[in-house]
Amino acid sequence: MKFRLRIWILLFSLCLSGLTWGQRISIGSKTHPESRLLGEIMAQTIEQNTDLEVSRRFGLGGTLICFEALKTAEIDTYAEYTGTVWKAILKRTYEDQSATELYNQVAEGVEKQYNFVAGPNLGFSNSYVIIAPKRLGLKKISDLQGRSDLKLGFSNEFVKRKDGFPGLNNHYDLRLPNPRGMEHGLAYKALAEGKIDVTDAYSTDGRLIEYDFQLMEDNKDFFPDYSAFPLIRKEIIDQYPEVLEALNLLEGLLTEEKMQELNHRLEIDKESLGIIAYDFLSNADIVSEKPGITSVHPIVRQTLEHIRLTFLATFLAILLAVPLGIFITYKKKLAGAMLSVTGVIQTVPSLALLGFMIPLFGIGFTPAVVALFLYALLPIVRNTYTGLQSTDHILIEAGRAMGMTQKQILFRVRLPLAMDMIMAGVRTALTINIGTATLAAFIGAGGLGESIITGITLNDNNMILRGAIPAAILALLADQGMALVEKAVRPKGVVKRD
Amino acid sequence: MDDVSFKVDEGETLSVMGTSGSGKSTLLRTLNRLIPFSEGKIEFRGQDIMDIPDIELRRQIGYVLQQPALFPHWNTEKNIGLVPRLLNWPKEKTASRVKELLELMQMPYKKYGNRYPSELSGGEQQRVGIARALAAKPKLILYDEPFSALDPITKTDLQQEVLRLKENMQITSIFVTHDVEEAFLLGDRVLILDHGKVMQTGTPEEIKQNPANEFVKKFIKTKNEV
Repeated sequence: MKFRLRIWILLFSLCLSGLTWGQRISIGSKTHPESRLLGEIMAQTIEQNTDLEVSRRFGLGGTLICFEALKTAEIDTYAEYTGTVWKAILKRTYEDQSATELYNQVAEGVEKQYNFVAGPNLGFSNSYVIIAPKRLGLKKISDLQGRSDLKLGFSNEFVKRKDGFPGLNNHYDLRLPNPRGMEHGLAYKALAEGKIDVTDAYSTDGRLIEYDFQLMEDNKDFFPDYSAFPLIRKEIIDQYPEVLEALNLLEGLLTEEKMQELNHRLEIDKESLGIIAYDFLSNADIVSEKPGITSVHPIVRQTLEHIRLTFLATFLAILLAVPLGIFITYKKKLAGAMLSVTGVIQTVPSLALLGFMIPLFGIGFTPAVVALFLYALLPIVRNTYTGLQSTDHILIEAGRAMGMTQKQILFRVRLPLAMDMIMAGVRTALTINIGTATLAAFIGAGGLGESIITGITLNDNNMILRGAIPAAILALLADQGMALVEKAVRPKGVVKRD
Repeated sequence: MDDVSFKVDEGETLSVMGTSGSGKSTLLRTLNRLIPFSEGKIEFRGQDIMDIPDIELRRQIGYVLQQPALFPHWNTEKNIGLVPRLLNWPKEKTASRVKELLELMQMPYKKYGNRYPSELSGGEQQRVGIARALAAKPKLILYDEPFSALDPITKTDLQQEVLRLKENMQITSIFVTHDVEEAFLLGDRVLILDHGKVMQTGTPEEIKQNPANEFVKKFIKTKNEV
């Protein structure tokens, strides 16, 4: 009995430890590398120019998740792009405004609708850009007018999109024949070797610095501008005006070329985020201290987060699922329905279930715990029900004949005899959850999935393994640990049923 | 059950005998309200059993099941002490009662007290089953074919045990069995049941001498020859 009590106390305190996280400025980022770089740059800037502490919540899926996270105050700021906010958040159409106009309109829109502040324009725009070898002397897009002699090698996507080549041709009155599309991955090499003369690119693509191409000026504002800027919750600025002051130091510092270089160092040279941001910021005299090696190794932190997520979710699931399993043992008519409902929940793909949680609980720890909690229900309800069902009928009869109440039969006979079966359900739930929780990083709940997802976006196998291996070990340990618990709660004198 | 009427005197053992399906088990289980009955009246020590809460009634009546039906997660001591615990006896009183019963059953406490049912033989398990039924000093004890699943030697041993208990303790008992010899051996009186009807009631001698009808004659004869 004491042993069991100790296990519960341990589980419970593990769970509680997750709920107390210090107050600090929380900086988010999307999953793609550039967004992480901007997040890290903002983080170091705030760390070294204010007295505030920063927590990094990088890799939060796409725009909608980051924006949702900002709305629910899960994060306080992240780097966004004007064009993205205009189209995806404010749901407006592009009206050929200039970059400055767009920035001002976006800033006004987010302030009015969401009470967010648009921080300083960081200087670059990550948008479509038309490129050509410098020797051709094509400086701006108008220079392409009537140049049907040029070999056009646009990407498949660009050729098809209305806001791609057809629109461009029209907007600039280029009078060029419709080109054939090509695989974008091959375009730079083809351009360098003179096999094609013009192609499209993203203006901050790190691979561009390996070549000396001309980025042609969009002199008639065809492409929507995607200027990067920090999007900040207004409450934070009201509370800590120094955050905006610090971020203002970054205004206009990042040119497209600079961003290409930083992206290249991260994606291709695989340098660390902290170092790249430090190099850039110290050159600009914004920071002076190299980012310290964090006292807790990220794997340790992620592992702890992972344990907290899965244990809390499983623990909460036990609190609901065991009574539910007992309930349907006595209300047989509901048993089928209840098992079906929990079964259906389990068939919802993990990512989708996590996604459903966002509108209800925002992002981060809570929605992830709720999703994992839902996943853990079925195995525990089912095993509780099966365990209780498998009580030998003659024992229930004996209990009644001795004058035990139904409650006494349940708590003194049926539950103790079903305990190992129930624990087997908990074991299944926990093991499944440790695997599923790696996806929780997509909604900013942290855990070992952070390394895995970052590794995938940066194409870094080592980083993937840094998340995957501890997760696998954790699953094995939990499985073995729960096997011991299962054995410990199996009443003495009962031979294992198999 | 149809027009069944009988009375058991204090200290007496009544054997209830019949073929399978005769209703003898059902009869027994209505006595402690495990099965509800629609008509008629059952009195326990002068009180209508419907006036006694079922839980309370059952705690006053010992019950020995066909299979020992011991709780597998409890050792011998805990199994025997069940009803005293339900009745909130002081711990020491329960413990000494358990010891007393184990000695009575010729199962020394030191050796058997801490054994689990899975560590006992079939005969030992049923001895514990009987001890469990006797634990809270019930005024009535019901036996539901307790030895039908045991081998002949163990069965004979346990029958002797019940006889000894009867002589020592004088507990009122109702003993259901389909075994004619057992019924005659253990019962002061025997009640023969068929299809829910009483065929004959009497002492073993009376029934052997004067079987009331063809059924009784046939029944006691076949069984005796087997």
